[in-house]
Amino acid sequence: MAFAEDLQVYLQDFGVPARLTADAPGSEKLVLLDEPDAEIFGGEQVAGDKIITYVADDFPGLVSGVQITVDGVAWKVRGAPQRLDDGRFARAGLKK
Amino acid sequence: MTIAEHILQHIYQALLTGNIGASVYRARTDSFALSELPAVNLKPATEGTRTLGNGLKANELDIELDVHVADTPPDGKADEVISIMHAAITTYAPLLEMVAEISYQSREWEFDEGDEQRGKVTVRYTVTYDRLSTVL
Repeated sequence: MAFAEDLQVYLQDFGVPARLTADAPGSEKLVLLDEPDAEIFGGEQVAGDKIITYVADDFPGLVSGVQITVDGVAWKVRGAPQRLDDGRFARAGLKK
Repeated sequence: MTIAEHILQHIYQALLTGNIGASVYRARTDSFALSELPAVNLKPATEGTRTLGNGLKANELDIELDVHVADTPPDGKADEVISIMHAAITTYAPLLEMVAEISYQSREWEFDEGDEQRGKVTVRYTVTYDRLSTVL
């Protein structure tokens, strides 16, 4: 018998609401928002990054260039989202 | 102080007074944060000498100006800074009085992306000046 895992448990504590900007308000799902800084140009600049981790099935329309509102702030998806491990979670970079 | 250092100080001053639309630094090694951009980092690269005869030498001082920007597109923003920067350097009278030539050589573009599009454009110049062989 397959074990039905509740993936939302992983997002409950630190998740923030997000929805594709084109979708109606109220359709938000939880995502994890990470904002690490990274050195670029061999350490000559420091750039902030914005990355969301989400349940892949929650955002089937999330592709490069799509607008997404995360915790009330509008972003654009940067590059192709990447599925993690067994593919049930995915990660996408964001940009203004 | 050597002539090369004197020239670098003049270039730095030309950039500071030239309203180039960017902060100016000399050989800065710390990272630039988003809030500090646009910024220009002036660095000497190499220097060589040619013998002219009669105790005269011609020195060629290669310098690099790294233009750091965050914009879309980053190269467009950098170009605004570069065009003003070029005018500032090539018209700064105290500098022109002590060198034979300031010659633009090349540009190199680099791009990266985070929450903002970032760019770094390295602009290279060669400054030629004559000196007595006994003076550096």
